[in-house]
Amino acid sequence: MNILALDTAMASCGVAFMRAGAIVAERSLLQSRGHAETLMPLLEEFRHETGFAYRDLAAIAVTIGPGTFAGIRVGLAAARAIALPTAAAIVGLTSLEVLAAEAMERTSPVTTGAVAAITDARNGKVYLQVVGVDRLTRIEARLVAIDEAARLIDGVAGVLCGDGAPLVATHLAAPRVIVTRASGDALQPSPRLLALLAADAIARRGLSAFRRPPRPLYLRSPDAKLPTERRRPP
Amino acid sequence: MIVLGLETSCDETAAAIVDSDRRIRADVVHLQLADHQPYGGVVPEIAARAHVEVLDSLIARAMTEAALPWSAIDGVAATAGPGLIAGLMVGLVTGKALAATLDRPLVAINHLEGHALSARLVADAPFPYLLLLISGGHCQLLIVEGVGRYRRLGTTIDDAVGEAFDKVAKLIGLGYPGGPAIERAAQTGRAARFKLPRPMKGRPGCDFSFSGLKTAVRHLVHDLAPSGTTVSAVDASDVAAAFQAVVADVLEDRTANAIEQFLVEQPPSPTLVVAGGVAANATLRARLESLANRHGLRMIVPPPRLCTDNAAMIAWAGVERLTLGQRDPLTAPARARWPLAGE
Repeated sequence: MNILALDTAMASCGVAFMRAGAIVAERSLLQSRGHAETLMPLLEEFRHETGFAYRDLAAIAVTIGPGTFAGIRVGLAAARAIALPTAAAIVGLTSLEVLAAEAMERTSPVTTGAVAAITDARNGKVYLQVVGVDRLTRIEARLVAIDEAARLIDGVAGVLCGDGAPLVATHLAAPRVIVTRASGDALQPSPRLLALLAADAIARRGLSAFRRPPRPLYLRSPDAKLPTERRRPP
Repeated sequence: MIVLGLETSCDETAAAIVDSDRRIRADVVHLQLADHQPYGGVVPEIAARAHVEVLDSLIARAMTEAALPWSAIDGVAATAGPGLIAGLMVGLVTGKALAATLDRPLVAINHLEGHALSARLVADAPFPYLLLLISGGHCQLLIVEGVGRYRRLGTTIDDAVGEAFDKVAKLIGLGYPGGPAIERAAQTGRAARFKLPRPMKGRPGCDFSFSGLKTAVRHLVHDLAPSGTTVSAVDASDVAAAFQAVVADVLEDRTANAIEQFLVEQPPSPTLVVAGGVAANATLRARLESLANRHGLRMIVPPPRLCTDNAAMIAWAGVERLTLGQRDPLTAPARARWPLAGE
């Protein structure tokens, strides 16, 4: 089964291709903006290098959020468009569960029970999801205040990751392991793991469970306090 | 040649399929009006969220309506600007991904070029022609010299004409969108009852201004119905008629100057094209038609469905550009601002 993975939800623009259960290749660019300009050229270059054909895709794996609103939509819009002529299924995964999978991989074997993936949502808040070593979600993805996040994960997750992890760690009594990239930078969703998690989900639930395209997971309502006029700039 | 067009620049999500024989094979629109009504205007983030949730199913519906296989699509045209950036990104990325998947060229269309060329989808309109573009976001006079070749003669220095319609409608309690509401109310109104300023009228050049007119209407409404009361239905009709008459006078005056400039260049088949949502107003259309006739110009106004925001005009602009061998790279950016002709 061929799976194409696309991620533009956070501060990287990444793609991966998986053929018959094995990752063929992955590519990522670290960038927090410009996904709408970068994703498709990157994907086409990647397609020429790896030789996959859109028509042979069984599924597209995509991060549905949380992340930047625009970034979430770029990945989802591309996935939904590719799925139109190819009839590929779309498997949507949260950016946080992909981060958690990488943290588990980097700390294996995990003896602490669960990993908390935490990203900075600004204004004293974080996006949080807790995933067990059994890959099951302990705490669903949500938007919470930093101290609330600390309360939720205390005694539950021994390993943290994501750019919000240091913010929460200062509110915890016991020191925690914070998993980062080798460079010390916060983890970004790995397209390779996104493809692998999607393959897992398909193995568990069957391809037919993913016929309806996933919806974006913003976790935040649109900031609509100040109505704008119906006008186009010249 | 068959082109799929996508439009997501404001609060309408649209997909259409048009061929080079000027047949509209499919034309579907999702109106978001109800999503924005509580806010009294379009909220960009709400619009973008709606676009990404419905665009793929609209495209699927268009393909079903046209009864075409995907292999029949020769190109994908998507609006890249001007407009609300978050929504533009959704349509443009969708267009890019479809173009790549189908291995067909992408064209990133200027929404205004869609309006400018829409006359050629419904009639034989050889270049050059004079274009009056009147909509909720624009009020411009241009000479359309060819595909991608536009020369601006004048534009509004403040509000767009459609915006003035919306604001006046709000002032006299007629609701949103204001264009059709004002036109309806004006039918029974006495335009001569009130004297309103006619901004720019009689001045040289082709520029427009509507903010002073809007202010004059606000003062008038305040006199008619002080301290938070609403104007009576009769007063509302009279104000609507007076306002519409001013707009007709101003559009006629500015367009007359543009016609004069245009005719100096001795175009082989002098034509005036009126496009944009405000072109749906029958009173304004009639005034412009008699103006065009007096000067020996033929007037073309696309049907209302093609004057308001739609994807058929985007697909058609794609047909025009692809016919000339033009296409855009997958790096093409969405652009909030994108003037059709030099500032």
